[in-house]
Amino acid sequence: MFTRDILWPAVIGLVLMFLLPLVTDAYTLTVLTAYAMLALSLGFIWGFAGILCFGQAAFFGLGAYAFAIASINIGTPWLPFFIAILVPALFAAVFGAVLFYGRLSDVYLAVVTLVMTLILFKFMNSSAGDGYKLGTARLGGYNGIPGFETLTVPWDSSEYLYDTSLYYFAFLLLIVVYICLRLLLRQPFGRALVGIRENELRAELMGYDIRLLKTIAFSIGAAIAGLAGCIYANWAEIVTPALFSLGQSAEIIIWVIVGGAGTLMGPLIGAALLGYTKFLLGQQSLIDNTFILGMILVLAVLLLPNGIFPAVVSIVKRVAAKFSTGRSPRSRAASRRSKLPNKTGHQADGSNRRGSTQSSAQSSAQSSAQGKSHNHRDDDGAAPIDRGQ
Amino acid sequence: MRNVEVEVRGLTMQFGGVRALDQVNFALARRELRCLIGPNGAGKSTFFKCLAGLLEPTSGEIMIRGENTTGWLPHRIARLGVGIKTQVPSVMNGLTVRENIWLAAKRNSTVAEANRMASSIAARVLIDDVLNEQVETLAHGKRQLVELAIVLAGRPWLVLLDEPAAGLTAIEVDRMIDVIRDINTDAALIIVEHDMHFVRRIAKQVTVFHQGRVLIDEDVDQVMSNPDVRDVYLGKQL
Repeated sequence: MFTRDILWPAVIGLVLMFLLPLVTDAYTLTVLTAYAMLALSLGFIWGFAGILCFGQAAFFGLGAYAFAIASINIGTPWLPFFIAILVPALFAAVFGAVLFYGRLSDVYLAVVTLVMTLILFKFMNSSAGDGYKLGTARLGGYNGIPGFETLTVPWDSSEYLYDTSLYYFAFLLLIVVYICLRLLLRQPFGRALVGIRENELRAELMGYDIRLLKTIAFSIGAAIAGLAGCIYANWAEIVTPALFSLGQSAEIIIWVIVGGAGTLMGPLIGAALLGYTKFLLGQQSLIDNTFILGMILVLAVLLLPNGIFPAVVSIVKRVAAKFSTGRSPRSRAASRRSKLPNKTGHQADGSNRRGSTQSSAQSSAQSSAQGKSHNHRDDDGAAPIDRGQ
Repeated sequence: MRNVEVEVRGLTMQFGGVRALDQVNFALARRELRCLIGPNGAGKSTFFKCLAGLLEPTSGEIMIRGENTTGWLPHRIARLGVGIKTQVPSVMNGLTVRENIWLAAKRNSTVAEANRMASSIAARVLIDDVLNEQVETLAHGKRQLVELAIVLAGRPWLVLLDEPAAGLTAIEVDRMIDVIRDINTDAALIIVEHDMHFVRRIAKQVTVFHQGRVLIDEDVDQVMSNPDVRDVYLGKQL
């Protein structure tokens, strides 16, 4: 079950986890990890189940609020941690059931999910005053909810997870979630989801209940977004309605597009790179940072329509292919033959060289043709179902 | 009637002011192969879509193996053991041939069985040479066969085919006919087809649609020599 393509990401993930603190501080890395988790949640439902949710921020915000409210009411942080995952998942299950059993899809789904986020944003913004209380937690309107118990070390409730320890905790969770998603996509359930993305009608004619499968996928995505929200709440130590904002929702989609929709790794990279760029740009006042981020999006869509990760993978593959055609067994055999002391040695050598350039030209033509014919989801080279590396 | 598997009573489908199907009655026996023919707009495809659950009829009843499936969604009808092939090949383009067949087989079998079936069914419809290729890279004729393989992977006892010969070359048509005869050894088929030549080669019993009604329901030779059928095809008013 734990084959190479599960093991490698885990190992690389762990190495990265220890290397990244050399680049920047744990405080920044923690929020980038939360963003990466959030991007992963959308990357899963959009890239693999074909559900373009414009309101993934809603589940992120719900997770964060659920954690804050539960933490204030309960007083200890670990039960709220699970509540923060459960609340968005249940909300998405009900909301998703309404959408998918109502046969809403494509752009209508995007619009409805966007509106849902905006409703939550409006509501949370106008929830100031004593009337808006859940248990002992005041929703606090525009100012949000500060001062809740954050996560502690499970075996020592006086030791808080913050800064470096929170970063390691968040990153480990990210690795675990990533691997769980990889495994899930290999299960018949995951394969059926990809089938639905590819052709809903066919999946239905095969006998798959696409409404149910999509609702479950949507709910899983929301659970992951909720987990990201929970990490964010522990990092920021305050939750505000800005979590539900339009900007936040749009940003998630941009991370996924730039990183590479249709892969699991792409969204992680997109979120981390763009999040970090935004952070660096925030430290200067020469150029407006939304302008730069907008430029990056435009350039990415124009130059790397498949996203950063698939582009990098295809470059690596092309280089590897060139490298291996140079020493393919056939050409080695041919060169051995050419070394035989006979009169046709020159000819054999010449024809071999011509053959090998031809085959490398063929393979590069093939790979570029593939790049063109594939849609935005299909180009990180792996077999389609297992392609999220 | 002997072993009726599909029975349709008074099926009517109204699209606004157009009555695409008008009180259609139909019955299909066990392991029967039935062709539905008729000129454009006769209601064949609408009838087909009602059977497959892709359209909900305005009135009337559809019974499949004793179940009243009127208004059922396609996935429920498929789960009864009904394999459906649409007019335009409906396949999963981004996946390989093997993955396409596997997904269909997995619906009602174990993973190991599905793995085995993917190879054996591909061999049965003669596409095992492209098993690991992505479906979108295949030519139209192969894609038709891929869809047929998907249908077979569901181990259906009733197969609905909408224009299986459309766009195929002569060789591919021969291959398609072999596959259809093969399917017919243990399943009933309803085939909507335009190509009279093709129909003549495979059909025993033919149902002719005209203006939303069943014009005639006879043996293929009698249908072909029927003057009314000729008139309908030549566009003469009856």
